[in-house]
Amino acid sequence: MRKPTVSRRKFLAGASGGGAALALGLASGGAATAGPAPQGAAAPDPELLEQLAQYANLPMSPARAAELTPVLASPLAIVRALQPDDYDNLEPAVAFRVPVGG
Amino acid sequence: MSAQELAYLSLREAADRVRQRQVSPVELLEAVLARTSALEPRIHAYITPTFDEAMAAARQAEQEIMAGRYLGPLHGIPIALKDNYWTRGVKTTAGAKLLADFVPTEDGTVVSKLRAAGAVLTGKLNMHELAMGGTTVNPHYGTTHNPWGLDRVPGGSSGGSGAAVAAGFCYAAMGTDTAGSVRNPAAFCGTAGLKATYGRASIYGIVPYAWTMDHAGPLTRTVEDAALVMNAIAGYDPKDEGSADVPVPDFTASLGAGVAGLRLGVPRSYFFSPLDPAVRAAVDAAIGVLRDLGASVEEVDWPGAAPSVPIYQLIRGPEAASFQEQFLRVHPDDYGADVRATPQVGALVLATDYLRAQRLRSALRSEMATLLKRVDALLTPTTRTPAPRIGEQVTELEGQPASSTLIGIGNTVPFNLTGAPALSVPCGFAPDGMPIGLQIAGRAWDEATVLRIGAAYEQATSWHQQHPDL
Repeated sequence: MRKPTVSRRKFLAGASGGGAALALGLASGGAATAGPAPQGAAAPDPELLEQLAQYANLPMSPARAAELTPVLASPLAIVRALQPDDYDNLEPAVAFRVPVGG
Repeated sequence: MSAQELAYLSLREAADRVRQRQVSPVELLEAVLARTSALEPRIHAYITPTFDEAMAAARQAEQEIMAGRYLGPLHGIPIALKDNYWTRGVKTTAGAKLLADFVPTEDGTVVSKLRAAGAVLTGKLNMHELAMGGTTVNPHYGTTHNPWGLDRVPGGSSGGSGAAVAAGFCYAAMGTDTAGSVRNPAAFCGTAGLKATYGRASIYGIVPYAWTMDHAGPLTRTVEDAALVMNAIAGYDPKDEGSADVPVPDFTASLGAGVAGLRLGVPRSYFFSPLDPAVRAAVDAAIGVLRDLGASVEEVDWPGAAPSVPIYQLIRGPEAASFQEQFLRVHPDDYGADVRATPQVGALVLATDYLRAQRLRSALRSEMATLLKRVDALLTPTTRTPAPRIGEQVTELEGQPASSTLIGIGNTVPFNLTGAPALSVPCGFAPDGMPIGLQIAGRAWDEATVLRIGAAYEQATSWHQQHPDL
C-alpha cells in the first residue's frame, strides 16, 4: 500500500470535522464493537430506505423497506464504528490501473 | 479395476494411466458418465450436461494421445464447470432465472485454458443463484444434495461442483469463491478446494458477483490435483482488470517438501469461537498431525478478522447491485426470495460507506501480512459446522448466537478480503458422518506453501481417500 509522504491524519488534525480519529481500533480488539457513527451519518430506517430506493429508481414497497432495514443497518453500524489508528492514511482496496500500452 | 474405482481415481492417477495408455480418455468418461447416470437423480449436480460434446472431446483426446501429441496432465480428463463460467454456445445461467437464456459467444479465459490443456468438459453444474449464497438450494434449477448425506446441503455457492467431485462424476470441478464458495462446498463434501491469490487466475468470462473479491478455483480429490488444475489455469490475462502480471510457478513443485521447520499459526480468538465441537476436535487433531510432522505450531491473535463479514457485506452488496442494476429495475420478481436482498440493499449503500469498507479491507490485508511475517501459514476450521440439513436454520452454536452466514463464510471470507490464498482439505468426519474441512491460508502469491502443507497433511492421513456410500 502506498503511504503518503505527509500523514493525512496529521494534515487533517488541524482541520475541523473528520480528521480526528475515533477511539475504536482494530489493533485494540474492539473491531466488532459498535460505536458512534461518523458525524452526519444517519442510521437507516424504513422511511430512509424507501427514499433511497426512490432516488436509485428501484421499486421498493414500504413493507420491503422495513424488511431490508436491519440487513443494511447491522453491518453499517459495525463498519462505521471501526476506526483503526491509521484509518486516515488507509487507501481503499480498489485501484485504477492504466495497462501497459495505454 | 471396477467402474467405481476408475471413477474415483485422483486426477493425477487418471492422468498417469492416460499418459501410459493404460486407460483411454473415452474409458474415463464412460466411467464417470455411468456413475452420473445412476446417481444424478439423487444428487442433482448438473444444470446443463454436455455429455455428447464431452464424448467427442474424449475421442479427439484419445486420437491425439495415440498420435503422440500428449498435452499434459489434464489431457483427456473429465472436468465439470460451475454454471457461471462462460462456455461458447452453451447456456450459462449462473443459477439464475434472470440468465436462463444467456448463451455466451465465447469461452471465458479459464475455460479456454482448460480446453487448451485438453480437458474434457462434461457440462455446467448447479450453484446457488448468482453465487449469492451457500446452500445450492436453487428455486429455479433445483436443490443439489450432499453425496455424504442426501438430506444435507452440499454448501455453496459451488455446491454442484463439490457434489460432483464427491460423487465421482468428474475428476475435478471448477468453482468460484467470493466469500468461501469453493472452500465451503469442499469442506461440506469432503474434497480439496483452493482459492488462490486474487489475480492469479483470470475471472474474465465468469458471471460476476463482486468483482474485487471473485476468484476462480478448483475442487478436487487431492491437493496435488488442485495444483495440477492451477498449473493449467493460472496466469496474467489483460482482459481481467484484477489479473496480476506475476510469474507463475509450477504449483506441484514443492508438494513433497513436508512441513518440518514451517511455522504455523492458529488464530483461535475469532476463527474457533463459536464452533461445533466435532469440528473443533477434528481441526485440533489435524493441527496435532502437522505438529507431529515437524511443523512448529503457535497460537496467534488476529482480532481485526472479527468484523470481516460486515466489511464484506458492504462491499459485495454494491458490487453485485452494480452488475445487476437492470435486473433489479426490470425483473425484481425473477430473483429467488433468499438472494434478492443482497443487491437490493447493495444499491442503497452510500459510496462513502462502500469505500470505508474498502479502506478497512486494506487494514485487514496489512494486518494479515504482518501476522505472516511471524508464521508461514494460518490454520483454521473451514466452516464452523459440518453441512446443515436442507432447510435447517442454525441460530445458535455453543450457546452463542450464530447466523448461517457466520457458520458458512465467517472463516473463509477474511481471505477474500485480503486476497490471500486459502485451501480446504478434508480432516475428519462428524459423528453423523458428515465431512469436516481444515483451512490453510498463506501469504499472497505463496500458494506453494499452502499446497505443501495441505499435501503433507494429506499424505499423513486418509480422509481424502474415503468416498460416500451411494
